[in-house]
Amino acid sequence: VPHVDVSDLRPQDGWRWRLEPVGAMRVPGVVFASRELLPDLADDRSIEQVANVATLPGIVGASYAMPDVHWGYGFPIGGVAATDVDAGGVVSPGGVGFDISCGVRLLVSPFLRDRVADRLPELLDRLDATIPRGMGPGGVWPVSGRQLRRVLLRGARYAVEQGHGVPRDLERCEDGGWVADADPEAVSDRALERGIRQVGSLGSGNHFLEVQVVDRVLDPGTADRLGLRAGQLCVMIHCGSRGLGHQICTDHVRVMLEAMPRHGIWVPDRQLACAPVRSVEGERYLAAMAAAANYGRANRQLLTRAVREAFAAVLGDGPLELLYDVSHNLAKLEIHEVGGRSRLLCVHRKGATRALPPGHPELPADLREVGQPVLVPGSMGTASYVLVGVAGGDAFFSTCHGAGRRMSRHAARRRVAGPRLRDELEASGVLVRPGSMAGLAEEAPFSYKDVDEVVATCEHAGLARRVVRLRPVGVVKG
Amino acid sequence: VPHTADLTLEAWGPTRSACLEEAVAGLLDATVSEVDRSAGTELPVQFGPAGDDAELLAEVLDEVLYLLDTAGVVVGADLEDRPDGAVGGWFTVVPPGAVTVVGAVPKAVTRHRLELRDRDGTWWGRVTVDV
Repeated sequence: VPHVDVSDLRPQDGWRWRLEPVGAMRVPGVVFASRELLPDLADDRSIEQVANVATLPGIVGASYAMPDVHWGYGFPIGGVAATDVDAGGVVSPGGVGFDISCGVRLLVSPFLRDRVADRLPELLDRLDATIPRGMGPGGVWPVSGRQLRRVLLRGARYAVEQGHGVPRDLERCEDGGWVADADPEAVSDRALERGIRQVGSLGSGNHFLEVQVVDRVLDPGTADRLGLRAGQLCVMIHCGSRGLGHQICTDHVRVMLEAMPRHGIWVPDRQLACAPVRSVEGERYLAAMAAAANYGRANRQLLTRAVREAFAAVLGDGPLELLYDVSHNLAKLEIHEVGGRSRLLCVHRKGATRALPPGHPELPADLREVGQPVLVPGSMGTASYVLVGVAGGDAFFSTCHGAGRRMSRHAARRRVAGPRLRDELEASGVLVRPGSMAGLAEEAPFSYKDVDEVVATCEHAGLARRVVRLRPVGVVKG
Repeated sequence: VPHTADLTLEAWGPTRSACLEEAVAGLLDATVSEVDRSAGTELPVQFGPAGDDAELLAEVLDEVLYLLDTAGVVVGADLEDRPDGAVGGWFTVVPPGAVTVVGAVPKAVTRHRLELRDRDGTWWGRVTVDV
């Protein structure tokens, strides 16, 4: 693929840019962005990555980039690509990412922020003391090898069966909280060793647990149907499948690098290593990926239990209801219409969220008329959003997954010291409980794109619709 | 080295094994400070021989990250090139409580722009680590 960058993009309308196929690209690139959100030419290689993804065997439609796109490895972060399974289409572990089934869930409380404001510091202290995070082992649920196997097979469903939640939680999870095609035999011992002591832990980096308040209701009808009103306290949990998922991706990238010559596949970036979905390597990766997806959902379910206990201890009784739980790092086999025909596609969403439209049969009955909730975590100190999928949603019903970084971690650390950032956040009404001060600085709000602009662009580009804006009042960082 | 979301490291040294030691040290420097080495234990390690040198760099750092979740923090590497093309030696590992974490914890080693090669008599490598 010849060198391409932002200057090769051609505007289609105000919100969509096209990269014509060049070299080995099999389909065009399509970037959804306002002019302001386009990556900076100098410090970003994400458009080159959009072009590289377009070379994958079996890719259909386009190599898509969401409005929060930024430079990743292999795929851009904010990338969506679908391959035609019955036409030699491939699955790429790098198109899912190391943090398999990393995602977001939102819990809605009956408490109004103004009524409980004086007890928030105590709530944050309790969360700080009980939520495992940061480096290495530690999780709220110590499991045996046999229990871990069941987590891999049945995900959040197993956690709920074991008393770590209520059945309604599962109705509000993507896939009912578990996928059926997981095979623990496809998971290496090293992955199991990494995962066994981390069930119910946040991790590090951009992962967080936030106490938020509904700041602005943008679609009152839909907000009402989702049980959201202004001033209400919510909790957003952003994390994934921890060391188990990281190891599974590592293992299968290596297997696919070795298998590619046998399948006659060449990729422009080794992190795009892939194999046909219908091959031993492809099927085995998908079975292991599904096990990690189940682990990720159980992980968020266990953190939910810990949050409910903290709320009950500090604020008293009042249900914390799960609004929705959705992944933004996953490959799914889905049926979509391409070129007038229904086809089975392997849809990779790497830092992108599925956004099913109203009426979609996979939605639970009480959400079918509304559309699938999409949870978009912003940077701490700014805002997060609840969106819903829309009819005719582009990019195989996908939308953004966050604000999207625009500054490197080192640059952020050089620009602000952790303690100062914490003081500034607290002065603006955000209580902060960081895992480390440098880690906090790396996640400073200025290192991200403007999340308000990102979600507005999603709406203008016909990818999703805004429902409410949430503002953090307390942040527990990894 | 700048990367928008993750961590890109460059390392160099007079030999391939010295360059790998520097890569381990670089990853440690980006992640922790104030290491208490008194609780360190030595762990024998061997890597490769790999099809190409870059894969060897990934293999060494993959092991560091695996140990991070299962054994402790690798705070030092003493490696040597073996005649068969492998690299062997020792990792010094301390418990997580013996270090102060200063940045996002690395998760995994990517193959994106991964390189390790002899550049005019100096071994040089580049690796991007997901954090």
